[in-house]
Amino acid sequence: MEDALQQDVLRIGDVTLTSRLILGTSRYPNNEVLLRALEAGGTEMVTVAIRRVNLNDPTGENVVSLLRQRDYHLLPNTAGCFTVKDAVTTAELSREALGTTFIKVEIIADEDTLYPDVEKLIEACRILVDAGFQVMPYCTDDPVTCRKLADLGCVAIMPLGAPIGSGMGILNPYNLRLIREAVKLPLIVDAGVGTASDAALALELGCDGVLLNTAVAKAKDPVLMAAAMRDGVRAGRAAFLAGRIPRKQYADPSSPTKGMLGERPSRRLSSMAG
Amino acid sequence: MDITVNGEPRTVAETASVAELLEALRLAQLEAGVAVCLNGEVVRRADWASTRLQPRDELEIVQATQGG
Repeated sequence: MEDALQQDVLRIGDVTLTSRLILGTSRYPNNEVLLRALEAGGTEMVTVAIRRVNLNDPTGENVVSLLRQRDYHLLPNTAGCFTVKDAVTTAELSREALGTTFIKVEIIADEDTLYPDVEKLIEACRILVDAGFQVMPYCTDDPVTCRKLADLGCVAIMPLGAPIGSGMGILNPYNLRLIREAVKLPLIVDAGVGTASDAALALELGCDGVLLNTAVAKAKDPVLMAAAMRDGVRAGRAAFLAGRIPRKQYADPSSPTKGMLGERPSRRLSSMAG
Repeated sequence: MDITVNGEPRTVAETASVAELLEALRLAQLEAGVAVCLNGEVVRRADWASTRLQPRDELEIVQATQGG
């Protein structure tokens, strides 16, 4: 598996990644666990948010300097923005603060589900693409929206698997498959991943990566879960590249049928019905 | 004169620049990773020294931090 995956890099915009796991950096018990989890996960790109400096304690520990020392690609987000203007301003501030043109655009419509506001998202992405950003939108798992975002010039598309922090996994694999058919760009499942099998499933469906935060940060053992996610992503990708068998409605014997000893059943199950 | 910084009222010198305010707030050493927004518009670092504050200005001083 190592050899097959070694050449299997992921290009997003002007960055090349060997890890298909992007990790968020919030909700960890402390910075030490965060840094160890990122390392165990083998991630190369992490998300950060843009927030007011605490003027009462400006030199308080900020983990971002630690992240920069470790050479992670930083992907700032527009978390907390509910309007196009706020998202665009936040992106411009992140470019100023970090010197990166990458931006994860999230514009939320509702505080209970944290569901994207698709109308505003598309408008903000259009503005930011025109302003030279490498835009990675967090969006609904709707093939039409994903196609529109791809067409307007985003560098990756990031549909949710389930609501942020819910851990419900991939709720609509059928839609993700449709999105995979509709979109040639890097496709990253972002939000809702709960455990390693969810991440593996995303990759098996043909997605190019996963972005997750809560599943690792709030696990009982975040460092171990990060390692599990690393292996889940790699297993899912290898399984995808290996070309799975199709699903069949009926059995297909795995041992030879020639030269069998003993009695055979006289009837088949299906003929016993009714 | 009175301005607002990060949502809080603050009194600054009449001719203060953005750069001088950051210096006064001891944010100069955080320069890398800090960005400034004045009345909804981003002020580039190169313009911090030359951008004078006006009464009732609203300033946001932000940095990258943990996020998902």
